[in-house]
Amino acid sequence: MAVKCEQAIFTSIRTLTGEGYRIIAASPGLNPDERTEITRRSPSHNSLCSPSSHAVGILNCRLDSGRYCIGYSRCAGAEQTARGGARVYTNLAVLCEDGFRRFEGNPVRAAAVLAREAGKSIMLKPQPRLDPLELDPDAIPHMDLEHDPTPCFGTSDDAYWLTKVLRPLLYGRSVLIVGASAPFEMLEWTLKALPLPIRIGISVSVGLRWASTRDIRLCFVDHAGIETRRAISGQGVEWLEVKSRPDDRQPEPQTDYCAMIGRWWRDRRFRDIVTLTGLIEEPASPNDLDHLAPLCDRQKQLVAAGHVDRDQLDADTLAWLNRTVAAFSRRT
Amino acid sequence: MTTINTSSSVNTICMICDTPNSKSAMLCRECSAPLSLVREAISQEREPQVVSVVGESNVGKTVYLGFLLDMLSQQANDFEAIPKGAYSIDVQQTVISHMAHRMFPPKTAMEPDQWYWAYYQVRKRAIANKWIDLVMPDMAGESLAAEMASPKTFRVISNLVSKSSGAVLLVDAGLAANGSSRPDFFALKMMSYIDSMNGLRHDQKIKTPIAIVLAKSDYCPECFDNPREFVRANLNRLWNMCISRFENVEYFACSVVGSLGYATPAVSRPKPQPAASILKKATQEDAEQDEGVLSEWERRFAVNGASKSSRSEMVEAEPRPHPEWDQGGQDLVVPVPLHTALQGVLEPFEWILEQI
Repeated sequence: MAVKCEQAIFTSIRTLTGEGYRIIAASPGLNPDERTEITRRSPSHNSLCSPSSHAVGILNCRLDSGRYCIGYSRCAGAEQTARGGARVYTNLAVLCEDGFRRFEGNPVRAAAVLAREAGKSIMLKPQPRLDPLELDPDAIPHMDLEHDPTPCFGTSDDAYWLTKVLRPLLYGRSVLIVGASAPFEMLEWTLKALPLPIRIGISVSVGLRWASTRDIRLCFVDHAGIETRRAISGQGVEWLEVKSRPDDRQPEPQTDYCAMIGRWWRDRRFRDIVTLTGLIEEPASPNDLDHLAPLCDRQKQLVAAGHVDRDQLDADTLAWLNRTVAAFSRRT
Repeated sequence: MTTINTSSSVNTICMICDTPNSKSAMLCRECSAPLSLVREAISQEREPQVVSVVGESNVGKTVYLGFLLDMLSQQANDFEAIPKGAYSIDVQQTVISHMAHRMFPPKTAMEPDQWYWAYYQVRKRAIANKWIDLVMPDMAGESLAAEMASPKTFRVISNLVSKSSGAVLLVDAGLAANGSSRPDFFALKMMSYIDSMNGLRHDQKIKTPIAIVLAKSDYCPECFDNPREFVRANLNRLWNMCISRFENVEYFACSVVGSLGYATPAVSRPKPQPAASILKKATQEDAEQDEGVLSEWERRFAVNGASKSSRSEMVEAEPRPHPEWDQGGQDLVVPVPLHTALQGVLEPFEWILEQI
């Protein structure tokens, strides 16, 4: 069943009343505050990382209204002032939380469906009022976790990079990832390795330049120069430059949860990762997840014998963990 | 791998929005203003004055600011100006180098962290030891329009306007002379925005000096004879607003480009070729494009066979560049500044400096 959502187009055109980047058309269900926030966060001129006419960028964020915004950006010819650079054209969909959950909180999937529904054409003279969109989460086949080849980020140690990204995200920090050769894959798997309640709260962008006004927690850029370093300096943003070989000279303490994800990844337990994170429906702190990790690792013994160090866990946490582990055990 | 851990103690207050920032931050986390402004101001022990250059998108704010700063650097009209920090020189360098190559500088992005900021110490030599510290941001016209339409979209703009000691409002004289109401309405909105930011009673007038600059006046040289009369006749809404609400407004005409050419893409006429060689070449080009140019997104979500796994066959191919994008009602004609002939660039600034 399709998810109903509002839509908008953000790009640069010249009209009788003005010119430049703005929302040129939108469906009537967008409220003024949402329009304001979309205007602030949408990519404007030169915001696509790649100068190629085939460059694509995606954007996802939770608006202050509580709804979720998905953006799909690409080039649309020359910008009308002809002062260099391509016109950045962005289709945006705004959907409620339940709707976004139906996409498993996966912005790549949502943007792909948006691209399919609204991204086929470039409208430079649209009617100002657009119809609401219907995005079908099942329009795209789901991942086949049994038969899929090993996901590859184009690095020599994907597990290392996955856990490297997970850790700051779990602790509420922002991450700028530079030079990932398969950013969409990396984004999808990074989010899949996070419980859904955490996942849907993380704003992401791929293929768009870093901008503080976009307020992005997980940003993938092709390359970043001195301006980007200058922009993130002192902002609490972790800079990760993905290279083919991990740098072992700077080992960082792993959390139990991240270490578990890394182990499962190396063991090719992709289905287990997705199943576990999909089961955790309640908000979980990094500490909760660290408690969960050894339980999951030793789930069979724990479920059978109940070998849990009760002194270390309060009753509520224990109940929650047991529920999760029990559900996880049933599924696997 | 490079990891930069950027957390540190809070001790730099942004001069534009008063947000506390960490010691190592270079841009304000709230408004993206360079924090070097604060550090420079502290070292100078002088309160800097903000002079905002505002105007519609594509009116020429960047070009005006770039040439103004360059003229100041070259000590035009007995001015002496010292840029504080290399970032202050970026806008003039960009403008001058592009214009030297007969190109207009690139369009300013809406994102405030992409804006140019200039911090200059300026004095007129005739007035010994009266240095003024000036901060001049180059804001994007679209950001100004968005902020005016919905205040607080870009808080940096409301903060800048509130803190400005003076403002230069650029208005497209060429459009106005042609009878377009757009420049008049934009300027009216801008003045109304400044009015509301000041929050004065209806019987109080705003004292902030505002220079209304008729940009691109080379299109209508009569502007230079009497800019005040031009505004009254062609930008009457703006004129009335200035009379009603502003106490300290002056009118100027300005032009930067001496002559303008217009370039269109060359239409090549292919030499006659045998059909076989044309087909062969086309096939090669298609193959090269599929191998080399396709983005990861296209490879994953295209249904044209370029995807690498069955589950990736999801979405129809991203639209290819189509002639309609470039031409469909929009200009593809590229304006080429053939040479520069500066007129009236320094005067508005000089007037504002006198008023501060």
